[in-house]
Amino acid sequence: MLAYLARRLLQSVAVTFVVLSLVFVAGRILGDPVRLVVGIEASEERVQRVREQLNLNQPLGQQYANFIGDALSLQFGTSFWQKVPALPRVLERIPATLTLTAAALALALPLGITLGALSALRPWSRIDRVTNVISLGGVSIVEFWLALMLILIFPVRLGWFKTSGYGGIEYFVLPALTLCYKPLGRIAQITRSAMLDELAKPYVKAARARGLAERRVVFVHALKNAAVPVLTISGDELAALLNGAIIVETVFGWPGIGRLTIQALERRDLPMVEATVFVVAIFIIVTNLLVDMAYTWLNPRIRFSAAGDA
Amino acid sequence: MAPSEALLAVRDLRVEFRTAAGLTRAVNGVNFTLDRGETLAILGESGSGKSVSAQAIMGIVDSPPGRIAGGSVRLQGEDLLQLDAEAMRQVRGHRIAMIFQDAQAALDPAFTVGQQISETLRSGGALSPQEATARAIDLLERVKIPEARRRVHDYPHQFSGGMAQRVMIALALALEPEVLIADEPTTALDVTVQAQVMQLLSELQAESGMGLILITHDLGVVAEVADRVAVMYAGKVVETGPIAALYARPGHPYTVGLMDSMPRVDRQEGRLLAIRGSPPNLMRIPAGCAFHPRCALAQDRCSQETPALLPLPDEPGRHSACHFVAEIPGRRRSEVSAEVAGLGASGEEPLLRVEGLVKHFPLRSRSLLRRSPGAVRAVDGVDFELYRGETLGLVGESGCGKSTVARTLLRLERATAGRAWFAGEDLFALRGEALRKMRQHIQMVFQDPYSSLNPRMTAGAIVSEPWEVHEGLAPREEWRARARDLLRRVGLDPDDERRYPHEFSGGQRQRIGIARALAFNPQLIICDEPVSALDVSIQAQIVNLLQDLQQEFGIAVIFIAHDLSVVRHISDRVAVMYMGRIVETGTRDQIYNQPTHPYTQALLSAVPVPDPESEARQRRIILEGEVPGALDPPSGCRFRTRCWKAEPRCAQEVPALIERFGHGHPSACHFAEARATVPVEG
Amino acid sequence: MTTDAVTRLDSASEAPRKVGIGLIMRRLLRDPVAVFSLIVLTLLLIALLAAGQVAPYDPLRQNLRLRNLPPGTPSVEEGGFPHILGTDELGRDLLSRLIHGARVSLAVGLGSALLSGTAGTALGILAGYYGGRLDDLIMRLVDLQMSFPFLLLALLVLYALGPGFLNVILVLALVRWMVYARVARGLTLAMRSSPFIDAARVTGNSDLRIIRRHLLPNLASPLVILFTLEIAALILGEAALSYLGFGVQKPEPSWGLMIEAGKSYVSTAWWLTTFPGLAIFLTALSLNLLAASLRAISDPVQRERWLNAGLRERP
Repeated sequence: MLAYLARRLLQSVAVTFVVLSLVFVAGRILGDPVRLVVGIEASEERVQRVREQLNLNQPLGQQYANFIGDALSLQFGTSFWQKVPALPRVLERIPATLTLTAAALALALPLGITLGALSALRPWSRIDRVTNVISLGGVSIVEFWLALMLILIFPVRLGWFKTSGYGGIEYFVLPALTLCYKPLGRIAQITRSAMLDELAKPYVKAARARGLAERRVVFVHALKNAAVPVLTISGDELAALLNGAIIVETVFGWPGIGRLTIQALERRDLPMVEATVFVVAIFIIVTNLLVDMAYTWLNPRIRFSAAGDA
Repeated sequence: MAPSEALLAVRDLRVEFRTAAGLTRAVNGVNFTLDRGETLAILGESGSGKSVSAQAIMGIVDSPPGRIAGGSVRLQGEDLLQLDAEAMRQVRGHRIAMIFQDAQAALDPAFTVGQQISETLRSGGALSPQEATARAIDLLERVKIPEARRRVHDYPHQFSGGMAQRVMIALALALEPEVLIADEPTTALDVTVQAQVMQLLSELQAESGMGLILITHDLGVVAEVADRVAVMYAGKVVETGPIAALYARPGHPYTVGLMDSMPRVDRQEGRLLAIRGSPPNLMRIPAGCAFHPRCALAQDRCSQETPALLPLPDEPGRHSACHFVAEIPGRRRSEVSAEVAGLGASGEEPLLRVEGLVKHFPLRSRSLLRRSPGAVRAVDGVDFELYRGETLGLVGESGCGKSTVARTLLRLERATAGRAWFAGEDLFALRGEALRKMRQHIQMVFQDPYSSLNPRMTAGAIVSEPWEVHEGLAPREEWRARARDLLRRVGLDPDDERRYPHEFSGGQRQRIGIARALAFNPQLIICDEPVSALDVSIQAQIVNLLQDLQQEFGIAVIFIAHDLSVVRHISDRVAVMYMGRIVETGTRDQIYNQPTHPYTQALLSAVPVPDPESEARQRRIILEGEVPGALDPPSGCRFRTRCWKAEPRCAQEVPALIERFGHGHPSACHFAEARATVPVEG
Repeated sequence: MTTDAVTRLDSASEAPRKVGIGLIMRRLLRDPVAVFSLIVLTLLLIALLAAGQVAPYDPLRQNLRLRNLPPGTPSVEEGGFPHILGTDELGRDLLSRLIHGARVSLAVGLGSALLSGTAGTALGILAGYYGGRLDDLIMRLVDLQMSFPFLLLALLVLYALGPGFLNVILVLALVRWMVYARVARGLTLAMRSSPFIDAARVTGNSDLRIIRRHLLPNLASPLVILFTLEIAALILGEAALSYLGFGVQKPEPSWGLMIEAGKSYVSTAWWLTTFPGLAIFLTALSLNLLAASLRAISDPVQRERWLNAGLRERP
């Protein structure tokens, strides 16, 4: 198990490295970062000055080495926009994003699994079709529109909750609701098809033949096995959740990493962009590692082949 | 016997499935009874309704689309079909238990076997977790699982197929049921393991006195263990009776046909007498007697009037559903004496020579840092020769490497070591165009007729693909006519060329596969388990077809199979494999009449013989344990861990495959001695 | 290891009755949800092909006197078509902008789905068929991209490339190719070891011919389903990028952009955000529903239940 974790950690380092390289490419090769900073209209003299200031007059290889070195020592430079070191500013924003995504997931996971399992019990029945439209709705909606519709209904018409800002529960409800719908839909869809697969397997029939109660057959035996594919995709789900967070935070003015990223991009603040991407990458790696461990626990085949690998 | 006394009495049971394409009558009026301590075999081919009947008795038919359309199932007089869901649940597992064909799949992979047994035990009544675990260990010991105390915490995937079936049996016995239904319990197992499991089942039944319903397609297994048989066809029982009388004088033309279709390990027969046609589509069961389109005795009456299952006069306990019972001849077919196989005339060059063939599959290490952790030694030094026009049977249990031999010879896998010469050419050295040319001479027939045909190509396109791929074999304008001719030769309608694989039955698809191989006019066809996926009655048709074509075209055949009876029927020479090596080769008669290697002897004796009077059972050798893992095979002789003759020498010295008994019969055993394990017909 | 486990196969002799197109169409037309999605998709197709002819007004013509008219306002012009969905903050007819917006959305969706689908499928098949290092390399990249939010990646690349219609198509293809690669690779891997591919090799087919003649036709139906799902995902992606200001630029009538422009008027002119959002939602929903039906039709096991369910609930 320890060897397995070590291996995963090593992979993660590689992943971070690749992501950082990508940021480097996006920032310095696809476009001129100086122009990104100073804008198209700036004078040539100003461009030169900024270029030197940012050490962007060095050869690309040297720049890359510097960049990776800085990243490893967690130095992303000073934000152009806020004139303070970028990384601490990004780190400040983590709790807000974390609460939001955790809340959305905490809503989406049980609801999605219940909805999906319910669907699978009687495929193509009326219940299934209704839940299907609900869950596909989640997959088909854009969060910023859902957010605006919720704002239109609750704060504007009914005067409930707050439209934007950070603070108590009244600020929190709408962003969390908005963010949870899409993962809920997807989890329901995947649970449904995983449950359909499991319910058709011989062990389900065999469990019935042993006289186990139908509840137990479906919700203990089939569901535990169906959880494996659901978990398998939860790594991708996490990425999707962060997609949503970028939008939801922007709409509701939620001070998380997503909103910061957009602000940094809009202001062409390269150090800040680099720092946010770095933090997002680390965040993803850590959570994927956790998902992996849960997966190993749920699926004895993996557990034992990982252990017996030595 | 009066029905009221029976432990279980099934009367006129009917099960239907509503599908989009129409109504399928899977069970169409089934009648039988079962007594305490009795073993009733329900014998039938796929689609005969035997498994659905069992599921109907258990109340676990999938609904929708399934529906029990009528009849009664009385367990000690109480009609189970009238019970509500909860009451029926109380019957399942508690009073009637069931085991399934694929035990691995019938166990929940996410829970340990101990958890699953405990769960079942606790559903039967209040029991503390500790008590349940203790009982679970008892049960595992009862089904003879070694180290039960430790293994109770293992997950299903950690058990071998045979051991998993034992776990399944333990689960079924947990609540001490009155009836046990075993649905093809050994079909997925190797023959030596099958013998172990069947023996265990018989012992447990004798101990507990429960009634056992054994559902199977295997006439041999039935003869081994059953007291009575019910033969099913197209959803109906067509014949029942005590085993000895039924086998001696079958009372229904279908039973006669089944027995004639089946090659036997203890006999050398000429052509198999196949039943013509194939089982009916259950959506369109023929009127009258469902068997009449395939029956040699059929008359007009058979297509108009459904025969009832009536008692046979003068034969107590026997029933048959045939209008012309009296005219069924006894099973007295002419038995063709064994022709001694033509070993390649001395001096003739073999068509194929294989020397020191090795194929290891390295395990892929999932770590970037560590080197490969080892290799599965699928084939580990195989030598043999094959002469023109000869059929070599390659037999062995699953995992022995026989299919890998085929795949390396076909260049589907790269050999790790060894050489092979085909018609004088170095087979493993061929590259590019030369390899493509060689493919015209060596063709293959696959095991699974379903997945070996491209579902998106018509039969005509499949058969003519060889000409498309190899330019110059046949002019384009002749393709169609030639394809039609080939289809006709393998017994299909030439107009079938336009149909897609899913429109054919299993046997028909296998015919298409054979036609594809013949399109090249090859010198060698490698058949990898070509009939193991087919029903007995269809199997005989395909075996006959292969034999006819081989004689007609003079093709050499390597016939790979685990079924020793079929191999005996079709082969001139036989090679027996165990764990990647050939342990014995010889002519068919040498191998079957005078086997010298202990493994061959055990293997032959484990095959169930469809003859209740056979004396083979007394001489049965039941091997201990199962085949060890190919990752780390035993030193010296690989069979020594299961061999009763093993001595220290066997662990140190690999026995060479050398002549120990006369000409052409090498054996790889230090202590080889000829011993007949199946009766030699005199 | 070889599997000798004997699978007894159903040998129903006569050809099983074909579940034909007719039956499937009957079932589809009896399903209100399916009919609904087919209607929406037909309308979209009309918009894509003939936006200029169908739209009552020029989507770009501004008239500040007609700002934020509520839905159903009659036209100020004599005999003009009423503004049934109202007008926007610059007095442009909302319905006409929606119709032209459909064109933008579908063009981006189809264009990037085709681009990513071709590249992803090709790489996936290569990875699955040849395995080894190439497979490792491609799949590492796929996993990496899968675990990273694609919107963030798209924003990063657009940040460097600059916004615009063509760039959006390119970038969306760049961030979604791996979806196809993963599916195509999985299917190829499963199929590569299947006996009919072995049979094709024994027949002497070249690799290229095996891929073209034997693999691709069998990958077609899952890939078509995926393609349908991806068009929906990409339309949502385009909307999000445009909403955030990194996608299609003003004054192009992009649905995402329209919502962005209308959001300041949520409390005063609800229609400005409601209708474009509804258009996005219904488009994506219809595509997703279509994909669900396609999946049911192409899977023999599911198809049976699907057909049964539909046909039983006959009125």
